[in-house]
Amino acid sequence: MTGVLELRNISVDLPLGGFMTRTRLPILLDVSLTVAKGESVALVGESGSGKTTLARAVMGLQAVTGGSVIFDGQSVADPAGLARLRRDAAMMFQDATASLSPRLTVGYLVTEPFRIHGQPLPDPEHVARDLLAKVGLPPAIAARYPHELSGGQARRVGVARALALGPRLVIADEPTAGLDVSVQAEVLNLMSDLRAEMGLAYLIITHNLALVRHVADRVVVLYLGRVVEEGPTAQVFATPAHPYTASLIAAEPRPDPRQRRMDLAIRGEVPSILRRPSGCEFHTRCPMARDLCRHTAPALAAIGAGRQARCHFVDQQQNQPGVRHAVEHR
Amino acid sequence: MTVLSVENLSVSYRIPGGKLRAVRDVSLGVHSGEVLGIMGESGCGKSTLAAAMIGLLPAGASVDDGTIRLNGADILRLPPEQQRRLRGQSIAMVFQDPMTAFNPVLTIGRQLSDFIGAHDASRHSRSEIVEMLKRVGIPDPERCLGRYPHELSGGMRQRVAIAAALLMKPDVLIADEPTTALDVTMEAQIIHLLRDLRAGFSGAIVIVTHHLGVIAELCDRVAVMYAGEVVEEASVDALFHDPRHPYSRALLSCDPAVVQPGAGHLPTIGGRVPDLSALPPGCAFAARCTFADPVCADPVPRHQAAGRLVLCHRSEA
Repeated sequence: MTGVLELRNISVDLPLGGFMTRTRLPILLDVSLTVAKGESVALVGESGSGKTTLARAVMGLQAVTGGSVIFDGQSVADPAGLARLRRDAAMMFQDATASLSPRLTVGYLVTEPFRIHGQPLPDPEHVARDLLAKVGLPPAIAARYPHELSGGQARRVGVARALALGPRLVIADEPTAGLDVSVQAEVLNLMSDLRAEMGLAYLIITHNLALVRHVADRVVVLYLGRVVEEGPTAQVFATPAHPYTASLIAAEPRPDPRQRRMDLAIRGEVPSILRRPSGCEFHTRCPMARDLCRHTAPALAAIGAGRQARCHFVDQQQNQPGVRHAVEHR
Repeated sequence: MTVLSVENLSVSYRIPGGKLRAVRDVSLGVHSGEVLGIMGESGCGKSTLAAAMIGLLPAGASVDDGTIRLNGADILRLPPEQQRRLRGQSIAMVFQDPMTAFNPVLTIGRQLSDFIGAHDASRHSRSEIVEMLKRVGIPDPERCLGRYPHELSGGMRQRVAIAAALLMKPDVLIADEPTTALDVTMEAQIIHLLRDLRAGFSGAIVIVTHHLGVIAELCDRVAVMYAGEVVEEASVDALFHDPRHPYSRALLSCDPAVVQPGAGHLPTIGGRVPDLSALPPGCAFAARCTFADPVCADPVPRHQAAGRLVLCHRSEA
């Protein structure tokens, strides 16, 4: 299957500080994923799992030490490929207000991608009005400066900028972080409308599982820079194959006081990448860890159509849907 | 017993050419051993109310009316020195960002003993600090004392912030968005910790958040704020299963976490929180409300019954 975006065995290491040392710290290890045309793929994991590094590597903002990024069938290693990627793939940043220059008007900001890429822009005002309309903002907002916008409006301007050159892929880094629930719902609706209208593909980086359930067709779970599970969203949420996925799902607070969780799905924190655990790297926090897990690292194995998981005990895990939780009944 | 009560409190900010009314005629009480949640969208006055409760209103804000009583004493009218002593000793606060709550150049141990030193140097010892760190789930607390804030993860810093607050054995602990900066796994752990702490803590807890899941998991009673007013107050179960104010209903129904995936568009509220310096007459929510009719421009009645409060023309308590 070829997709809009294909990552083949991406690895990224960063040099560890120190004058004479040549030690390099692996951040991403052998990550492969595909985003098909018009598909929405979510990348989830805790802080430190390498989600943002992966997005930066895709956009060419972070050099990769191994593997390749293929956009529209063309490697981005050559300059022409990279230029095409930067024109046809757009990024929605996490902090929308900070990603907009404070001294430029909204009207200028949304047409800036044309100027940066040297695209013809005969009638900037008209183009700005169209782009703002697409994201549901009134034309009058074109004259405003970023500090005059609310969080939701700034996010929409970020989307308008991302859409300026008619991208085929949008990479969205925590698109709903810090927004109120009502505004979150608006942004999610906007994202799905644009996808239906323009056939956009999304790579969404988030730890908000409610968002994943609503907008992602497939989900890829990262732990310490490795893919630990991948599959269609509905299946992964119904029967998570990896204990880490199961604990992430169980950790999500439920907006219902009658379903309070009385035990903890996951204890401890993400281990430091300076001291990766032996064997399966999740064994230090895994409720099912056994001796085998402490010594031998499991491989990412196919477990059915389009699903993969990196766990020695995938079979047992799938028989019991998720980690069980005591529920407080009143 | 009511530990902290807010009576008819109004707070405003001075802005060029007028006044921004951030808290309007709010009355609330919290009992010992109780967890009160304050929820609402950004810009509804939640954080201003929390700041007023602990006497940390920013410059430019002023209390126009009302009283705040802590164990019966009117704290707004105490001399500043006494107010300062109450902070920490009787009311402690946990902030959203655990990084900026600490001094980056001092060790955790030094700062925790400072926290205490300001209030009572003799009573507490190192062992008491270690004990408290252990209680909030810090592994290897002895070593933690020698560390600097940047060496701890966000979740650990928030635990230390909670430990610092509890070391003073406050009567009221106020937490402003305590889990917003954390990952979902850390958030679950902090919710769990706060719930566990209630067992050995006789004081009251006030949680301010816009995250409905945190309210549902943690609180006993909830006050919903809109445009500076508490528009509904109810037990957590009543609020989540039988919300009466149209704003509470709208807010609960648009949380992506409650909507089944594949149901098409998520419900939204539409419109924005009104400008707090130019509020409309009558109900501030009317412009966004699906039940609004002309009567909503009249002063809003307060319906009070059976432990609930609802401010609405079109709905009863």
